[in-house]
Amino acid sequence: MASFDPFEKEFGNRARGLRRTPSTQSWNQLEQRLDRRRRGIRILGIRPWMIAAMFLIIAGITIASNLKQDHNNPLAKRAEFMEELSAPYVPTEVFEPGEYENGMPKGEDVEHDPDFRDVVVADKYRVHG
Amino acid sequence: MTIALRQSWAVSEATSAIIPRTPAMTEQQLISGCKASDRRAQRAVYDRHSPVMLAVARRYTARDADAEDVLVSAFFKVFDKIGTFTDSGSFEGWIRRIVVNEALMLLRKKHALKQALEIEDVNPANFSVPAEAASRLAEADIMNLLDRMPTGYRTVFNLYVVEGYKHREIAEMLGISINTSKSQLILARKRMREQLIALGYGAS
Repeated sequence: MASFDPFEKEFGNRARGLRRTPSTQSWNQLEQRLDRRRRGIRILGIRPWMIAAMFLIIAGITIASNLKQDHNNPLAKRAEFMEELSAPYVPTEVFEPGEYENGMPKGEDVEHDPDFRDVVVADKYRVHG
Repeated sequence: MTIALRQSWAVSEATSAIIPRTPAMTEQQLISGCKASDRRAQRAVYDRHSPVMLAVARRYTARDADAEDVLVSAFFKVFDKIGTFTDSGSFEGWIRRIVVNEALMLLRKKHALKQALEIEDVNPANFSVPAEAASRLAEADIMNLLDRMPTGYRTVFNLYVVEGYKHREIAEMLGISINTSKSQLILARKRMREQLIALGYGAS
């Protein structure tokens, strides 16, 4: 008790002993609120463990689908650049067959393997300079 | 006519013999029942504590309709949070704290606690009232005296004098300074003395 004043002490005792009868409406209102809450719980029925379980299921599915996906499949890859199709093709180097001799650039020594000396190059692969 | 009355009495007697009366449950049984959301236990707790709690709510709200609203919200919270009640304190005290908190919430919602003053250089002894005045007070006068006080005075007076909270606790509950709480109490005492004289209880 915070108050030590005799009047206040007596007043406090009397005030704490007061009683008032509530109307029947009060209980009805309270009961309606309790019923609404009970119905709400029944419909939703959500508990913390249910939320945790749902989270684990979603995380599991996500991880499984990521593992299953083939990252090396070129069809699954996204386009990395846009090819310019309208521009005409211009080769950067001009191929001069005269500069090559026996399939190697001119001037470079060609080692002749004795094991392959009898191999005859087909006509279509021969360079006719 | 007499025969019909006798017959109806006999039927009611027979019915009461068939339907067993709910035995008076102990407080612990009621609490356990409420924890299990047993509606009979909830009703029994409400019936047992609502008259006192309505008077508690009414001391703060000054309007019967507001007091009943507070009572309904407070008991809804009691049954909703019954799981958090521990046996360390009294059940009635726990309910009373919820009722007081709900009443304060209503007052805050109505912005009734904003006009709190802080005064200085007041001798509280000037406003003391003889104790015998309280013992002679009728119940209706107690409520009447509180009703005639402004909300701030009444709230602090109720919390300090009736509930027994300290100024530090009242300051925390109402979001005011300790000095404001003390000032409100002094002014409430002054008003109380004036009202007692007006009602013919004649303070010395």
